[in-house]
Amino acid sequence: MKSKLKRVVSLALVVGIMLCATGCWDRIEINERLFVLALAIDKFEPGRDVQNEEEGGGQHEEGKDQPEASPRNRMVVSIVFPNVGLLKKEGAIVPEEAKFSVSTVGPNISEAARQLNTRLNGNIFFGHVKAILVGEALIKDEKLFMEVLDELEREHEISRNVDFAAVKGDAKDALFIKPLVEPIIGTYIEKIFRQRKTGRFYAKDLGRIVTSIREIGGAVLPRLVVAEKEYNIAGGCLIKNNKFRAWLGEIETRAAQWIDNTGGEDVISIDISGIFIPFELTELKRRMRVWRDEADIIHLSIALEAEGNIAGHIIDVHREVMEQSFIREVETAVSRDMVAQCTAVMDKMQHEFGVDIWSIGEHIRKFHPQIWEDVKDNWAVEFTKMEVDISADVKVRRVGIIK
Amino acid sequence: MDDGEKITSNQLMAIMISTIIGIGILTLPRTVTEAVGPDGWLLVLVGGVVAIITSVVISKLGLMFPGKTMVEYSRDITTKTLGIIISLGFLTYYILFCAFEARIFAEVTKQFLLDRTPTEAIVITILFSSSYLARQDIATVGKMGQMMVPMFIIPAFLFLLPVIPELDPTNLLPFMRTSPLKFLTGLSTVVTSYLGFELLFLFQPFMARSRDSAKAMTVALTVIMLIYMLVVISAVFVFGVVEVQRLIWPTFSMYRVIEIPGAFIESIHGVMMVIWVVVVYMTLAVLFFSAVTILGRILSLKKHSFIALPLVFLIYFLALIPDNIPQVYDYLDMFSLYLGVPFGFVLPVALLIIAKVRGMGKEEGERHEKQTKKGS
Amino acid sequence: MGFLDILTAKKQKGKPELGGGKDKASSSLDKNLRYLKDKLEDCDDVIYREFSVGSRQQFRFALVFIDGLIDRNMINDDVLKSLMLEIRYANMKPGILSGDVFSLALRSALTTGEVKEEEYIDKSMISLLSGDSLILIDGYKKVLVIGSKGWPNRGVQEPQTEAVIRGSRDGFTETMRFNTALLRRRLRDPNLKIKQIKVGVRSKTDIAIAYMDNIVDKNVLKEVEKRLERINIDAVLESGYIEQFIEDSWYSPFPQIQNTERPDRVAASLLEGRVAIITDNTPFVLLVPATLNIMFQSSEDYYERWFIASFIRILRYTSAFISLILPAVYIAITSYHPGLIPTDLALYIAGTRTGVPFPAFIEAVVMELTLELLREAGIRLPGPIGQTIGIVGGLVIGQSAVQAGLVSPIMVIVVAITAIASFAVSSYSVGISFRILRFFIIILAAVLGLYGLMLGLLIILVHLCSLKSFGVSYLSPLVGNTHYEMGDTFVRVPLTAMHRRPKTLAGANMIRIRSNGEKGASVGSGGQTGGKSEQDAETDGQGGSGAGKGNIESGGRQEGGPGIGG
Repeated sequence: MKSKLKRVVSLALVVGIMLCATGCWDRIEINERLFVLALAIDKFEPGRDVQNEEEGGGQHEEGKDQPEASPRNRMVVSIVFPNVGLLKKEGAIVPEEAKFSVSTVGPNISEAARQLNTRLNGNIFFGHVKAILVGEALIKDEKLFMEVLDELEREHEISRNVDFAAVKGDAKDALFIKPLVEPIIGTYIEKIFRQRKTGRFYAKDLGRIVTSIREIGGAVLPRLVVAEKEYNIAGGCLIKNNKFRAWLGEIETRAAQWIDNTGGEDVISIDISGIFIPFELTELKRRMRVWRDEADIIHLSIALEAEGNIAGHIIDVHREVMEQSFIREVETAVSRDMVAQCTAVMDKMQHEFGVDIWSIGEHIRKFHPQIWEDVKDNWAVEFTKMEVDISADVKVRRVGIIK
Repeated sequence: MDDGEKITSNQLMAIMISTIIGIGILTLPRTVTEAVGPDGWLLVLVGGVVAIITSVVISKLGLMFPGKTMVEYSRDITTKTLGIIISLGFLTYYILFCAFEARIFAEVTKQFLLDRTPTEAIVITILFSSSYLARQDIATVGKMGQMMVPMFIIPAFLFLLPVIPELDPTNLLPFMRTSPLKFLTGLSTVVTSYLGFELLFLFQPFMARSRDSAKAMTVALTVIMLIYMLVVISAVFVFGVVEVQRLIWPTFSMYRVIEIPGAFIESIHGVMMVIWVVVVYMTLAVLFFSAVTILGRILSLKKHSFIALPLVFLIYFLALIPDNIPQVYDYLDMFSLYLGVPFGFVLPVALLIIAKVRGMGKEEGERHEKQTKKGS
Repeated sequence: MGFLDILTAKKQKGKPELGGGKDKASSSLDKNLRYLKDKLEDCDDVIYREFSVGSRQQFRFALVFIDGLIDRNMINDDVLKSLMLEIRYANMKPGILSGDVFSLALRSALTTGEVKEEEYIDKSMISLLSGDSLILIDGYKKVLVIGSKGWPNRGVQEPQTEAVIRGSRDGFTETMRFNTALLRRRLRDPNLKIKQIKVGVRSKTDIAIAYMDNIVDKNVLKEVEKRLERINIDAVLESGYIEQFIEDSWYSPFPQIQNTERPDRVAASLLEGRVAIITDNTPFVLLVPATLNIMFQSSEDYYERWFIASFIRILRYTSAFISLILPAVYIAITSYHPGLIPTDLALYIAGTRTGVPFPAFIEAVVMELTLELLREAGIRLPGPIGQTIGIVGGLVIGQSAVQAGLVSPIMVIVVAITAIASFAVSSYSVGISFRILRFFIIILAAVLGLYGLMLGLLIILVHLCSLKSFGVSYLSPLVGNTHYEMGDTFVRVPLTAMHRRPKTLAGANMIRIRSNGEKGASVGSGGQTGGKSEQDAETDGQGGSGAGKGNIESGGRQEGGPGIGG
């Protein structure tokens, strides 16, 4: 019994000392970490990208002030992290600043992060990244864009459901403003995305976008526009064949979402006898049907069912809002409007761009495998030849609290 | 070992569930989808049925030789030397299995939890901890199983609930359009997820009522089958057929996507990592325990718990042989095909056939029946 | 005297005789007296009172007793007075008086309640040392041993370590006889057996083994007796000595024997089929077998209604768990995995920790150790000072440390919650185990993060699974085949639902209470038949029927009876 005890104790001691003395490999105190909340990636264009102090650019590799054109300088990576010391006042990095942004130039994100580590006083941690922004130039470069996407997906620290947006212009600019409403940038973007009350942008996260690009080579990214003290996230950016194709407007994106059955709530303003009546859309359902006729042409029929409220009229009453005839008129007008917008978008997608952003191909693959067999090799072309018929059935449910 | 410690059939079920669900569940959605596309869940179902049938075979085999484990009755059925070779074969199989479990566990933990900790440290610590359980007797193993099984099954189901908004059930279509040939080749990859059930040949004599073993195994394997199917279906729902094949460990990635609104949003996948440690620990410990027991019985030792420690070092070295993750999985595929399938499926059936042909075990079986009837 | 010395001392061959029985008493009074005076030389508290009895004072008697151990009034009134005075009033013819004085004294004259005759002088000396008085009669070979125990004792008070809000407030005292009395008051059943033995070469401490004859598992009883008999030690000063000698594994951090000061707990435990070991000179009674579940129960759970009781039980288990892992979780998450907590919390913790010079692990260990120091100091200091120290220490030191920037406020909160949680565990010994294990897990978490934490928990669990207390699994009823006992672990189902005794503890008698309309044997000796058939239908053929097979183990736990969980 005693020798057994001795053996156990000595073994435990050996292992324990071994672990304690050499171990704690991963221990990084939480206050030594820099929590990156937003990440922005741009394509580096020499000469154009001047990195100066106010913009957070500092020294670059080998201590150079300005990065020059070289095979290693391919993208501009910018990060923003909050000033946690503010909570404790004394430990704040810069007492008044709520956030701190830095940027550097490097061959890819991993290396750029390492470079940043040589300039910063903490350990860069991507585990709480809330938003990833990509610049216009980057998404126009197919190879670079695909590399960036792969790197982001492969990195296990970055969660798959971070918000992803394309920035009109340079993504870096987005991280260097001082927003009025919410000083910490990553949180600001995240909160905008959480506003599902508008259907004006496609809320997609990194995972979905990558999946979409894998499946069809295209996707719609939310579009972010940078102003002096705020952002505007609305509309979309169309990716085709793994690179940028066009910007989509807010209204177009809204219609596209309707067709996609991810339509958010929104307001449709229609003109009835000169009065602009806002119709608040609360629910939307889409029914899709695909069939093939004898001429081997594929038909797509989209039926939207919408419900909503009338949100406004005019004080000078000469018509009763509660009248059925008025309501019917509103419904018809809204329906017409919706169909028009959807048809416009569909037309654009089919004929101008030729991108099946609604995964209609997938729908055919799942529900009509026989048709899919015939068209799968040539779907891009078949998509443009498809005959589409859109209809909308709108119902007004409520009219507010006054007649 | 023969100090009268018995396990109940509930404990046997618990042991089986915790042993069989191991590292395989992480990659399962990917492997079955790679094999048969959206019908992966069906493949899981068929694999489960095959495992159930084989376990019934083993149960019958064990009932013919009451009180004896495979180490002993393989000597009876075939010659003494052949029996020892078979037992040594199983021993090697389990030692290698332990090495795989340890290595993959270390790699996954390193990937998701501890980035800079050396793989060796993780391997050695999990091996030491498992050896503690491997040194105990079967009753302790049974109790651990009983405690651990609810602990990882219930959260696994519960935490899938918040995924429901993300699900796209249409991802499972089209339905059943895979060719039977692909199915058969896919079968070989999925049956390895059920490996471990053959340990029945080692545990059956310790059951209080061996007659219940077939029923217990069926229930246990059905539960495992349901869990696997749930995991595969959820992963395909969430990611779609294309993406799920790109993710190396889709099960984990799936849990990363889950957000529980309001509560600790990020912590779901933390909890899953914690549960993951438990899952692999049980698998590793039971396999380790089996290796120790088999070796002990081959050498006809009375107390064989001391074997555990030297085996730790052997498994440690084996675990560190592959150079990188892809190589680990390549070796794993070879292992499952050349060792797993023969030892797990083919051998028991072969032994049963030989035993029946030689007309063995009938009298002992009948005597045992009479005994148990008197006793109860 | 220490425990370690006892462990490392050479084992003697055989055991020295405890009861004596070597020297016979002689018929000469002087010889006996000399024997006693020799043996008890320099024991100035031994009183020798010689007196004469008889009408002509012809019989020499001697009364020997130890001052302080005896009831003076009884000695004076019932022994001396009755022998010296009242014997003369007996109606005796002269002839008879000269007859057998010994028998006369023994049967007619002495008006004390307890009188025995003893052949061996050394045995009677031990009785003398235990508080009995000896009557030596010149000319007679036997010694009269009079039960005259009456030493100073504390009186029945509320047990300090197990206070309850609802329930009786009497607790055991240091006198074994009073303790057995308190037990008898609650179980007026002839099946309540109390066997007495003496343990301890020099202390010859009285130990009483109490059990319910038709409920107890006979194997456990045998095992208890066997282990008690094996104890070879100088003195048993407290039941703790016995506990450490008879427990199953001395190296486990978990106590495998329960101790209690409350008679109601003992009574309820006996009704479940457990065995109580009452030790003289200590109010702490041992109960075996003990499982982890039992350590978390308290008598109040059964006196209050089931809803409240269940809630409090769940609270207890949760707090024990929290007290075990909370600091480790904090360390693991902040040092290793900040990605696992919500962003706002992570930023907040990072913010409050800026400027703190120590890593989280050192912070935690220092704060925990400080708290343990405070706790110990609080116990040792007398009354009001002790409580003040607790408050002062906690508040002031914690607050100042935060303000000085030495620790982060979150750490203080974590440590405080842990401390409070550890107090909620009803059994002191288990609480201590968790406190110590907490450090083990903290170290593991500090080295390997969440993975280390899980490893620590798993190792503890494996240890718990392998632990047994007198043949019963420590983790019953969570493990094993007894699902119906789960009603008394994490929650407490209504009393009307608990009709069976815990299977692994109760040997033969399974049925506990009879609700209206239920047939079956009553709780008593008739329970035999009812009990057995129930049992057989239930199990897999295992589970000890006390009368039948000897398998004590078989998983399954026991719960409390309709009385107290024990």
